[in-house]
Amino acid sequence: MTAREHSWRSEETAGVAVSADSPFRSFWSDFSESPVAMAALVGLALIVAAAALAPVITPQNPYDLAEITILDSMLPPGGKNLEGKRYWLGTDDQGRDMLSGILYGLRTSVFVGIFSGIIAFFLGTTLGLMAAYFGGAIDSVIMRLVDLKLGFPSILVALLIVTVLGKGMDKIIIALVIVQWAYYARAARSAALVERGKEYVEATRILGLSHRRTIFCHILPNCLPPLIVVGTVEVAHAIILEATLSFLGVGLPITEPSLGLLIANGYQYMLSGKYWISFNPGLALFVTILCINLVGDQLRDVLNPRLRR
Amino acid sequence: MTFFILRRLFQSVVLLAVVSLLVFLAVFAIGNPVDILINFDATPEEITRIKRQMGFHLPLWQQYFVFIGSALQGDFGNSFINGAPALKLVVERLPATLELAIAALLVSVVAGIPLGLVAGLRPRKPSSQAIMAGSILGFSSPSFWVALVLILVFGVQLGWLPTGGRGETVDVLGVQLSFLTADGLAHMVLPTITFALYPTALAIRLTRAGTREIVLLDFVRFARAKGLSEKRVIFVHVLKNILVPIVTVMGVQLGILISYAVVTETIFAWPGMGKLIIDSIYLVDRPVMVAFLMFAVFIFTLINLIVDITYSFLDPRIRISELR
Amino acid sequence: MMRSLLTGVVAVLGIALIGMPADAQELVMGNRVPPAVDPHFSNLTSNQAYSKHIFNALTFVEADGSVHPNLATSWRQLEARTWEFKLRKGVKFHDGSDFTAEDVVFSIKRVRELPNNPNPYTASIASIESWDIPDPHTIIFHTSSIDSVLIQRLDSIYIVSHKAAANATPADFASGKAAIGTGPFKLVEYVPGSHLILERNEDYWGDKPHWQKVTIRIISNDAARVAALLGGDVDMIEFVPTPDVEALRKNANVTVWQTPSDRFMYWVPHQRDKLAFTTAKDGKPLDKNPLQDIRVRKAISLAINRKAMIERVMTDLASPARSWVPKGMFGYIAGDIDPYDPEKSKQLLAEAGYPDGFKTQLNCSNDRYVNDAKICLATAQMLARIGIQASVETEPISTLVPKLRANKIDLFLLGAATGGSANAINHLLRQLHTPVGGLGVGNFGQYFDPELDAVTDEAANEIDPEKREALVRKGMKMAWERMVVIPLHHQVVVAATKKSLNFRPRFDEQTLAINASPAS
Repeated sequence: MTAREHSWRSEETAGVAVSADSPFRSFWSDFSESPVAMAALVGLALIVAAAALAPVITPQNPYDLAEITILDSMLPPGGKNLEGKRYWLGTDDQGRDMLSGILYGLRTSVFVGIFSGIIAFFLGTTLGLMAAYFGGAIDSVIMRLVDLKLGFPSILVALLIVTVLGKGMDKIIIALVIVQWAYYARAARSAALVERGKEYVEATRILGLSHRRTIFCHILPNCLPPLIVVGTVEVAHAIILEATLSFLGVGLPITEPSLGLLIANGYQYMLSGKYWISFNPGLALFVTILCINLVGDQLRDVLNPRLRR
Repeated sequence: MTFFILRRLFQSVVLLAVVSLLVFLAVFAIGNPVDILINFDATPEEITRIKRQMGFHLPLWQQYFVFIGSALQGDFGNSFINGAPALKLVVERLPATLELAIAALLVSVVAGIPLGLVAGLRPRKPSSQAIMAGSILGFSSPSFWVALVLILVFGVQLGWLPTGGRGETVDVLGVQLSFLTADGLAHMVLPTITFALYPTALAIRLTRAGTREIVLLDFVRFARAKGLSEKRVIFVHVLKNILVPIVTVMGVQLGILISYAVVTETIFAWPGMGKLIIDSIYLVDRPVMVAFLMFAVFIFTLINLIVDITYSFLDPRIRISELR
Repeated sequence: MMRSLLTGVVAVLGIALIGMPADAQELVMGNRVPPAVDPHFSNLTSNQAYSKHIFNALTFVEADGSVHPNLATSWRQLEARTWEFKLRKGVKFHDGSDFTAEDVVFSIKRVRELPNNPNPYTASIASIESWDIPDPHTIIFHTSSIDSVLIQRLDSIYIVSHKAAANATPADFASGKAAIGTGPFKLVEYVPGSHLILERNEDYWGDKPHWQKVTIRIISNDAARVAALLGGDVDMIEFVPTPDVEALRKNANVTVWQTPSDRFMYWVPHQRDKLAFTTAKDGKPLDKNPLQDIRVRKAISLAINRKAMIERVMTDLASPARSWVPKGMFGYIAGDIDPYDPEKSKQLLAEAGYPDGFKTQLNCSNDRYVNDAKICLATAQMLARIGIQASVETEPISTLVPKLRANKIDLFLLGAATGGSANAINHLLRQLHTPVGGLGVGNFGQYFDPELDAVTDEAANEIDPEKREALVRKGMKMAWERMVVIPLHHQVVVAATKKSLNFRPRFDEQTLAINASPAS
């Protein structure tokens, strides 16, 4: 056992949500021990910042058809158009600046991933906590649903939903929430089952607090660490899934391409040597997922002592 | 015990019925197939005539019962594109998908378990850390993009391997297999690598975690203390104990792989079930879509049922918690 | 070490791959679309091409559009609505039975009665009301109206054996049991999703094909099809994707073959009074449909830079349209190609009362025509420059068609072909006539023009070919000048083969093994 596990252990034995010596500080010192994870965290911060600021920092709005021209199509990275304007990452078949396209695509991907993750988090966690807290019939109904969902591969479920609902950002988010909520529910339930037996929960009952208050103000904060780990995994998962659906042509509309769609568009030009249309957006997607996974891995190690020895 | 199995069986049947209704409503919502598929030259009278002939003028619930009635007899209608029985089309494509999925699973077990063992036994060594970094890369790479890069490098730039298709096949008991010919094998290389990426990363992680847990247990320490050779310790004591759960998880992965075939098969033009469902979505070949979805749901329900029943044999507590 | 090992493995595989040299009498084709095999199921151009290998029709439309005898040796119009066909004698089906008029009658009935067939061939023989069989090798058709393209349309009604195909389902054809035709090839096997194998019909009544064995591999993915040709897996491919044509031309081992297609690409401005997506720039409704104004349609046409579109989107594999049919076909006119003139375009918009332009939506397929989705996006770009702010929606043709039929969209991309007849009268009757009694079935823009209808009806009822062509030209000119649609271009049919082959592509996109031969 190393020193890094200390804070988590002491907190568990204390059985109180917030201990006196800031758990965040010790968490942070644990987290920052790995240089790889720190690099990934910095990378992730940069990616999220670039995605958020895309409209400000990109040379072009790639979703505004009046700003792009077919006359500039298929320029290689670093190529100049007739007026001498340079495209650092080249252009695609519509004359869209790839740098702008990738940043906007990243923005879409990150937004879809985080937004669907938040909804799934709230939905799944609420159901998971309810299952653990109330037990009995509520528990078995909810857990049957969880098993049902987890019994089927995400891609199949998402494909079915999108086939029925059609294309569009809102539909993709619905599909991703339906795919993800069960993972949060399962994690929340197993964490809450441990908490339920503890004295402080008993104490809230004696004090006559409402169920809602007990669940959300007292049990939930103690269940957060495993949920955060699930969250990072699921956001990465959601981003890949959205990209895959868009790549298959059942995701987002072509006027506002996400990374998956940019890759799909470039696919047909690969044999004729115009690799950049497909390759660079894929690289951006890959680096994003990698950073999230590296951060998630370290979080798992720091927050969950049983997986580390 | 019997009660538990009956109960699970009943749940599965209810599930299938619910899914059949959902799939039917979903596909029905896409639109009338005659409007979608008929030639531009058809007159409105012609369209009405064919709708009546195919039974699309009936109310929704009546159409559903007609559908369920024939589905129970294994008849999901005929493909709108080539007129062949839809379920037959789906089942015919199963061997191609299975061939690729099993190949990928073998690769991931053969490569993943030794690597995971190394990483688990000597976690601090740079080689182990490199293996773990590799497994994170495997988890993080979008498979469709990896497939494109593989095609670009090995298919287009170097020209070493074919970029798609199944290659030459051999007929074994009425099933076409690729891996028995050199040409077929060459066609399998790139899709198998793409396919194996995720399960290999998973196998590495599972093996490593299992190994690290087990080497700390007393019996391994005793074995070492007794002076048994390291080789014997690893192969007899460690491997024996971690293999069962890993193989179980990897077995379940087969089902997941089959559904991810949608992506790999589309890119490599591999004529399996995944490519069939994408093609039929594009062509709005309703009977094939329905047959595929129902078949997939049926298979997964079956897998889940078998897993649950097996576990309940192995661990009686599950039954008890079910009955609580 | 690793590298050399890898190279070794690949070298071994490579030798295995090269293997035996292909037999000179064997042809391997890479096709885009899988076949239905049953020649009466699902009326698609691709299915017609497959059928032409195994079956014959009464007539045959050649690669240039001319009509030739096939199972019918000659025909004549006895009266305006009565046609007599003399059938070829001594023709045998693949199973050795004789071909007679009975098989023709059986096939026509089967086309009409085949159940569960959402896309039948019935439209091609809709005019045939009844028939007489004076002797086993003569058949007389009575039509309900004057059908000036009957002989062309009969090219797509394939004759099956009334014995082998009795009560046969499409599955019986796919298994080969009922796939008994009189055509140049016999079906050996069909493996769905994979390939189709044909062998030469040694007793064929016509010119025997060069190829003893033909394997048609189904490779739907564009890039995979090109890769299969480059890798030597197939000898020829159809539907070469336009981005790859340039590289293939430069390749010393490949020949690219092309011919103008009769597929005419155009924008349809819907003429109904209330449009769904067309509003003022601020989203307020407009008091009338701007697309009803010819000045607006002209403005859109002048805003489209056809040169850039053909160069960039079509990589030069298209020609700007001057008429609904390409040069040389029945009813061709040398209409004007609108120049790219954004200034004049804006001026026309202002004259029509839209100085700031308006908002609308472009609807396109993304899987039907060559580069359809890209044409859609490029057009939206060009319209943005004259102030028309167009959103873009692309989808598979299968979900677009129901919207067309329900009149739900405003401005949409379509491609019309002559249906193999190489005759502009088909466009007048289908796309330009007011929808009534089987006419105007493809008039999805709801353009109603009594003057044009009158000319079309006159042309349809004219028996004298020269007079009819003059009338067809008159109608075509009228439609062109009135900007019923906004014309873009004619597609080009592109196929690619190994250097060792000669190939003749067809204007109707049908890829036939009989059109391939060894290069001498």
